[in-house]
Amino acid sequence: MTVDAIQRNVLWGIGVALLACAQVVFAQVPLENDGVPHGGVQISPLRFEAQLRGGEEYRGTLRLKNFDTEPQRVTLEAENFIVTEDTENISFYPSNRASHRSVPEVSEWVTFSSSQVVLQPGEAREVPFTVRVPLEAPTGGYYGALFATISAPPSDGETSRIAINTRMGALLILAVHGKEPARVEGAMELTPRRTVEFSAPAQFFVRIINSGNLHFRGAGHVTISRAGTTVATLPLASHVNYPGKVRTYTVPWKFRLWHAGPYTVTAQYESLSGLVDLEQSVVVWILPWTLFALIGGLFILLLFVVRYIRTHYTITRRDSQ
Amino acid sequence: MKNKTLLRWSTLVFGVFVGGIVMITVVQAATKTEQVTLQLTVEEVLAMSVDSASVNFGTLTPGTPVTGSTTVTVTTNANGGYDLKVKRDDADTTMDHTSLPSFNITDKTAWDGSSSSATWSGTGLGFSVYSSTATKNTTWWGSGSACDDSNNKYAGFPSSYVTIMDHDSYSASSTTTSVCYKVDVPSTQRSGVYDGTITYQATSKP
Repeated sequence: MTVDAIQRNVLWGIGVALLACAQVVFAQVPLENDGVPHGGVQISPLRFEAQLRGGEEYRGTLRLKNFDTEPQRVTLEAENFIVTEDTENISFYPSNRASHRSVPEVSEWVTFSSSQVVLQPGEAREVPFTVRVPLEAPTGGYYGALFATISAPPSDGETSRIAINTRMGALLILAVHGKEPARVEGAMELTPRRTVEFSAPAQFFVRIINSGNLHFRGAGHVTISRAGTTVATLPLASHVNYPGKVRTYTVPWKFRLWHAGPYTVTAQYESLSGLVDLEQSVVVWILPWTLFALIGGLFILLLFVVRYIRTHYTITRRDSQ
Repeated sequence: MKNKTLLRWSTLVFGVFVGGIVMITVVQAATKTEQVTLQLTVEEVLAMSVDSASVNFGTLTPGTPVTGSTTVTVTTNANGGYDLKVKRDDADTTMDHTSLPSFNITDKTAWDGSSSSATWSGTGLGFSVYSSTATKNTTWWGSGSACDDSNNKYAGFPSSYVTIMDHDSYSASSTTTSVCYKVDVPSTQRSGVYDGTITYQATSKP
């Protein structure tokens, strides 16, 4: 065996060994994004919903789990929230904000069994809490959040730095039935983006208006039908509708070439309690531009064919020959 | 003498037919299946972590900006997505002189949730969301894709929680949002160590 051959064999051997090592090492590395947290703290559930009367108590449990390799000190606190007009966003505020003092604040009704817990790596802990509704609380929706905050270690005073805290919230959505009558009621507006749609997707806007004094959770669907035959059923996902607010669902329908014609679009929405049951219909015309393009193209082709025949052939009646 | 017919053909066929039915019934009874419905409800969860609990800027020479970054990872199965918000913990500015807290590093115009960000110029402390696997709003944060990208738009940390990333759909895997911090000071900035605290908040949609 020559020296070159020996060198080549040794290099091949090293390469194979490296590949084998890489296989062993990388096979044990967990997937980076497998849906399992690889650090931080997890909270659950993300919302508590309850119907209560003045003077009643609600008991819940917030579950925490530490996915970090270090112990985590978690501070628990309650705040209040208000939703924006379109119910897309939330503003949280602590109980001492002067501008909101005129309304009873749910954050003041919440008591945690422990306001601070230390979670060891991998540890899961249940933290019970109690919500005590005052006897005189007026009828209405009361909205708060239970926050778990993980604070960064204190500064060493020698390095310019920004410390980073994280906090996660679970929503607390309470309907309180006080002395005033409860009104769970709503209205619906169904509007198409255009009454004549030329290009897909057609879009429909379903606005659920809560005109009562309590929130309600509801869900529904939009059906698109023609001559009594349903061609599509599109879901309206389950959401909470807050009093005095409007939730807008945008529902797209990707129609096809053969869907040309008039359609009846019907939106149906019902609250879980069944107290709110809404339905509305509109008629839209689907006229796909691709269909017109196809017909136009065929017409032009036909013209060319007729012209070609007229140019190259003479059409005469048989009896005239 | 006529032969006696012991078994008629019709009787044989009838017997086979009845026997077949009996056998099918027995076999069906022996292989009868029962359906069991399995049902469970998966609870909504949310986990949040940052790649580092602090961002160290080291030593800053006035006139030469320094940068740092944080990656916030959120793992949630919330159907409606989640909001990521941020605020500074200090009332007046984000970073104070460690031993003389009345001396501050000026913040850029505080983030207002829609339009107060701008490309980098001058001095101050600003932040920008330069990438997100959830939803990056390029109108808010510019088209930059790295921390030192000149297309990033920066804003100052607000004093109350303001949304910096709005993700309104379910994600089948963890999502990361990367935030760049950039700071520069004028030559008259009091020397020394400065520090401050910010808090990131993640909540499900209402």
